[in-house]
Amino acid sequence: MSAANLLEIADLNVVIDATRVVKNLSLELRAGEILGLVGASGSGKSLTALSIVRLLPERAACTGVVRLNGTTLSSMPESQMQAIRGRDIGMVFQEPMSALNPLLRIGDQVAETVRLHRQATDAEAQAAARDALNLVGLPGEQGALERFPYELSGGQRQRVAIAMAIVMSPRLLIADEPTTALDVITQARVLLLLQELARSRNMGLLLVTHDLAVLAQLADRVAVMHQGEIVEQAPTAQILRKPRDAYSAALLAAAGLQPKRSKVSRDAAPAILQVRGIVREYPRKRTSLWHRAAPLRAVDDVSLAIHAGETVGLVGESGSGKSSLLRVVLALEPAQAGQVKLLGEEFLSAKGATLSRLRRSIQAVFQDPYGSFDPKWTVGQLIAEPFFLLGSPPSAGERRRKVAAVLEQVGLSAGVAERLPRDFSGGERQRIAIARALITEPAVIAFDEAVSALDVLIREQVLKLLAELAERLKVSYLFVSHDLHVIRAIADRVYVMQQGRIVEEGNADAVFASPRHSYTRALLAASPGRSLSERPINEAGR
Amino acid sequence: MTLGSRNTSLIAGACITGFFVAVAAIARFWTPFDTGILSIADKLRPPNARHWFGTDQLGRDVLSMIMLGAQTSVGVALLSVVIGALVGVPLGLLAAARRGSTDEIVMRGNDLIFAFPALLLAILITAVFGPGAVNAIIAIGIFNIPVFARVTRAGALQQWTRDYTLAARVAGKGPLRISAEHILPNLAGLLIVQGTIQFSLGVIAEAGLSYVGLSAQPPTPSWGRMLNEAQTLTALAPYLALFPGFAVLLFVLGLNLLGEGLRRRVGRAA
Repeated sequence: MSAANLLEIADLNVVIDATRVVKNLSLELRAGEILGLVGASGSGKSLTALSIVRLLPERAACTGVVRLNGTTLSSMPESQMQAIRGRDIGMVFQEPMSALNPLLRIGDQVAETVRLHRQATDAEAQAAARDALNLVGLPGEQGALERFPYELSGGQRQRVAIAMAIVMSPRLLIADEPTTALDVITQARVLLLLQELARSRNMGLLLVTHDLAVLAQLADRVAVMHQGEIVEQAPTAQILRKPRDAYSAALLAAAGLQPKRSKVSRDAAPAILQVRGIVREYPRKRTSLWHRAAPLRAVDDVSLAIHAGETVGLVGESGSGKSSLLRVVLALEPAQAGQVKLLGEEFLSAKGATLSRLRRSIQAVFQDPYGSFDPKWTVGQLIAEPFFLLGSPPSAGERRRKVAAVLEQVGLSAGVAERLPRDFSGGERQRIAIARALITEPAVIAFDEAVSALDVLIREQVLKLLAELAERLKVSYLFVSHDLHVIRAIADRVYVMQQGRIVEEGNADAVFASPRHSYTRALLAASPGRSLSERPINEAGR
Repeated sequence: MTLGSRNTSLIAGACITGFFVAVAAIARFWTPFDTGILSIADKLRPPNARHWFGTDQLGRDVLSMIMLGAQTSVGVALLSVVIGALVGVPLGLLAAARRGSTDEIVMRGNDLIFAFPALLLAILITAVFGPGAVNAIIAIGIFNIPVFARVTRAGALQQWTRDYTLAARVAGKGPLRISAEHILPNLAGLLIVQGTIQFSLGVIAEAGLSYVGLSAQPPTPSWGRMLNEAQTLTALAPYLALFPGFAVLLFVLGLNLLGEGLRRRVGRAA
């Protein structure tokens, strides 16, 4: 091994509960280099990152050698290791809220890191904190130091976490899924920032992620991890152009997400769902004794239509009002103005038997595969829940048969009906959620960020399944997502939403090929997958 | 191991609580002596082979009195928990499901009850409606209502943020049905823990009320009144205060250990 390597990992093995989760892993990282470590969840990539700084969970046993600048970290006493963490190795984690102390102003928070590692006066520490926050784009002049974490957006919080990681000018920065919790535009900004920092400070950056698209723009080299082993390690451009390993190829294909189904204009078909002039306002806390506060207008005069058999994408960043709109369309929340016509009948003001009948025709799949099932109900009971909408519910035997049928349609065996949701992975849970949506044979299914929480490979499988089901069952989809890849892969037509309004609509291919509105262009530009097909990767950011 | 200590409080608590409940159940059918028969000749005997816990100033067997007292204590505390849960849990579910003004009214009503010192109001209630076990149950039960309402509401609000409530609404179910079918079963662990804690507070409250003569009336034995009567005889027969005192202490300890053990178990499962 050459002396120029900043980080060297040799024969790393991690064992948890008698399972080898990292197997004979060896990695090198030079100063100023960006190495991407990519793999599905459970591939051992995060554990690899944690074993570098020796922060593995207690149950884990770790063998192997980790060297930073020639110093062996793996045999160092814990007290010395504490000095290394934060000073020589900075870390950024996925969840920006839980990484910050909610009771400390962010200036003090960053300054605390300085005081932990260096004899510094309060003023010196504050100055260092100010510099670091300036660097990450939170200038002290604007009062950023005085703010508390809850006053910041997700992206800003992640910037604070990065400031804390770099304030001691570490030689190595480890970022574990730093942008997974952020929306596309913020993600692009944070990634650019990390790249600039690595280049300008000649810092090694180990970027751990499940999303190959994120690395495409950023990393010099990529190591692909699968079931605890590195299956391929090569310069980014090479992996993207010609992956040698089958698993890398699969990951790449999933990240690219080519459209899977024939897109036909279905404008001629009748509109089965028509949304006209929807306004959704949320009351705000009153600040004056005499006047009500002006309400927050989350959805502002939105109209859209879905034709039979069509998949419509609704895209926008978080906070653009797309989830609020979806809830109105599902008649879960009242609208202040506008109407929703489902199969030609007014849905929002429907009552009793009409409401039940209409509800049967529109079902939904929600974002969180863990939260959308009552943990105490079996899969069979959960899937059968919408039978409540039927005037005369089917008998127990009939019910079982129907549940088995939809389970098979989504690619699960009928036997799983007896089990509880906790026995299933995220992808399987979304399949169960789809089965639940299918059971009443609806005309429209609404998806609220339904694949956002899934790994790329699983996401691809679920999207394939959805495309198949749409062809076979002639069901329409309203697909809400912040992820342009997903929308591009599945939608026939798209609506782009910003600050409660639809700013652009049209045929999916046309909108993605030549966006008219500046916001659509910004969304497209920020989307990480673009570089997979378009630009020379190794030139990124230079 | 941390696992061991968790199980220790659960097991110890369950054993002690189970022991007292069993004693109360046995006393329903059998006690070593009949406490209805006074035997002045045998009065104030210290603990001996025949009367393990001695006899009181009227010659009654203290062990039998303690056993019957356990019955009163368990009965009053348990029923008051049931009253509190039966009224409080639906109120909490309703407040969480309806929000808005319903929530305000229910929760401010709870604050009103909380604003009174519990034992004092219990004394007021029993003083107005007359002393007796039934009125003690009602008095203690009223104070369990806001506790259950608050715990239920807090837990239910958390459940309402989860997507499965949305899924249930898409399936056409209303808030009340969702509360009953989805929310309540998911709060079961939480409520059992709270019930255990309220049970132990109920034991103390019952002892307090009967000490001032406002719970079960003579000749029904109760630990609080045994303590009261022992007070004047402390110099002569200290064991008369010791046994009921220890009974209250041990039972409450057992219930608290059980509650703590259950709480950790529920916390781990959630």
